[in-house]
Amino acid sequence: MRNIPLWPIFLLCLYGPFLEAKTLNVVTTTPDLTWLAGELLKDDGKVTTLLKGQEDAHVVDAVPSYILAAARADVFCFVGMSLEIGWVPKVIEKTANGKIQPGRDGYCDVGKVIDGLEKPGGAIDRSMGDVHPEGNPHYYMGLPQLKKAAGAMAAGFMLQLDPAGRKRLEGNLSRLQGSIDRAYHRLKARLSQHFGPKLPVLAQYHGNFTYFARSYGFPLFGNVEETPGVAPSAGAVARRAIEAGKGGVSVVLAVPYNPRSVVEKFAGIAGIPVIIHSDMAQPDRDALKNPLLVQQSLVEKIIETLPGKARASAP
Amino acid sequence: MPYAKLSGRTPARLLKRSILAWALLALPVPVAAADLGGLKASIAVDLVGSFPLEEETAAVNYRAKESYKLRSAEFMFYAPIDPRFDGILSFAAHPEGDQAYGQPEVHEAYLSTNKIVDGMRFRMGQFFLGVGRVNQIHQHDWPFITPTIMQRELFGSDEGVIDTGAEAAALLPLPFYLDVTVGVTNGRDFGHSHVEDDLPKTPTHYSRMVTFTEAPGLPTQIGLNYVGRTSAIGEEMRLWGVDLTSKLRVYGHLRWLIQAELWQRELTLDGTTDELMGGYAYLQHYLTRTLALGARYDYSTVTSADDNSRTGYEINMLWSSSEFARLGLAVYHNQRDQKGRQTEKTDQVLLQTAFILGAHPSHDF
Repeated sequence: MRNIPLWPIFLLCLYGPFLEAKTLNVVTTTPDLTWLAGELLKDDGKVTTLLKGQEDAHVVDAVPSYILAAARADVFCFVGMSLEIGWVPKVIEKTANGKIQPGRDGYCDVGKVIDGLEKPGGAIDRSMGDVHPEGNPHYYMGLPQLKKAAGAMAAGFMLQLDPAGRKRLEGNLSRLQGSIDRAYHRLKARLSQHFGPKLPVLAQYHGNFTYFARSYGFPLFGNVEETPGVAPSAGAVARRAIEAGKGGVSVVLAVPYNPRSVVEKFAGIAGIPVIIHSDMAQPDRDALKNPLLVQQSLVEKIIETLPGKARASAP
Repeated sequence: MPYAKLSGRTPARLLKRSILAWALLALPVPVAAADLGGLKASIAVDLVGSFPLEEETAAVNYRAKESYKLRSAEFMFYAPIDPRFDGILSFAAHPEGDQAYGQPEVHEAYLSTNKIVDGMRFRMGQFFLGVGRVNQIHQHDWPFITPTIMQRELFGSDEGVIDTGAEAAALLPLPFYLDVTVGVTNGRDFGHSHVEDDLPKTPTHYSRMVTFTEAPGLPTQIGLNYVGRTSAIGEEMRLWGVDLTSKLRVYGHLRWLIQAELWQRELTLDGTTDELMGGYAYLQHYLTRTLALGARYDYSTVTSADDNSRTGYEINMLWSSSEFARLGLAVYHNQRDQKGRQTEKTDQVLLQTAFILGAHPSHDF
């Protein structure tokens, strides 16, 4: 017993108070990523969102309060796929925060791991409108993609946590992906129960709901916009609406910042209802405070708006 | 006589050289040689038509002749240089005075970094001084068409102040937003001069402090600025200014913009000080996401003598097809009142066509 060295105990006493688990300061652009980060890190992280979920993430600019928040971040996560290309590079640049510069451990471009839908083929130029070379960036509306995003974020956080934190993170990731899976299957079953095997055809104003529709198997007619990011002309709206009517479209989806008059005109000509619904979580609203609730809310809205198999066949 | 003979090159020698050239071209080219290393190019074209509503004699005209012509064609190249530095080169062709067509001149040529000292940003080279609001924005990106009277009277140019030197900036580690910039440049000239003066007694030195408030519903950025210089002949210049920018966005889209600046300049030579004050206030409202109406009021006055003031306004309508193309229509008024002299004034209708080809860096607030 006398041979046991005492120096490790001495060092532990000396440095023990400083060895408390590291808390990661994570800043994310959207509330959906904030929720993922919060569920992954729990008490190991403090997570801040820049957007509140109501904004069109394409068009905001590098607001100084965003720069202030990002300047203190250990990790900066953004949707990527060029969604925030107009402002995120400026925010990161102006912080001069070495941890979150491109290529560093805290630079967390979540979209990198997503297999983008609607990737344009061939050469891209601006005559095609607001086209993203990496594909449609609204992947946060697809639960399978959100599950993948959680994995990517966890891999980034792993690099910065101590062993105990990494272990907790592994457990949190597993639980989070499990809850996303369960929500996905529950909502899929709910749709199936209401509509039967054949889901109604959806149209959308812009590509915000592509991943949502594809993940549940909704046939997607396409967009009211002919050119992404450009409001269609009256003639184009009428033409698309007539096509939608012929194509058996049941409902048109739009987000609150889409031009409502254009969407309503489209719906009026096509003779279909409109659902205006957020595509992002909104922490200020209980019913939409995380992406699972956003999905549930939208599924329920579609069910409420469209008669299902049971109702349609009722006398 | 055949050209080959004239230049002392025989056909046999030319053939030999051609074969050698083709052989060199056929060699495998390293990938790096074909890669542009992340180089991005942006070209901004800005054309302005000015149509005076009265006879073209007023010295205060924005454009002296009824014309529709190029105001500026700006070419910008930027890329990471290596893991530490980024580089930028921009040159603009624009007609000076009565020139029909423009000649290109280098506007910016600097390297920058935010990766050497954590939390700090540096620029070294030739650039627009990091002070003021309009001074740092390229003409094609202004939210109005005409230069402000303040810019012309206090900074001596329709464009931003360019010089060569070094600048450091940092967001201070405080619980609120406070970004500080300091810089020193040659100071051989001041403004957008095309001639170089003698070595100044004190080079141009400047600083800027920017803070930000999320005022209820109206996020606002406020900047405090100082620029100083003593020329070779001992003329001491001091400039103080405040700038304010507020943006009200709905769903992220800009609905209202308020932008204003107020500057005071003192020029002291041989114990005599001339004071000049100038500023503008601009209000812009987006009727739709692409169509905006704006009104700007300009004022400048010689405060030390009280015998010379200039006032003006621009009322504009700007239609942006996208962030890369804009058409503008404006009514512009500018007048100079001097004691003992008849008021000079002008009223003009202006048309603007501006567009951007290629990449465009993301913008500040």
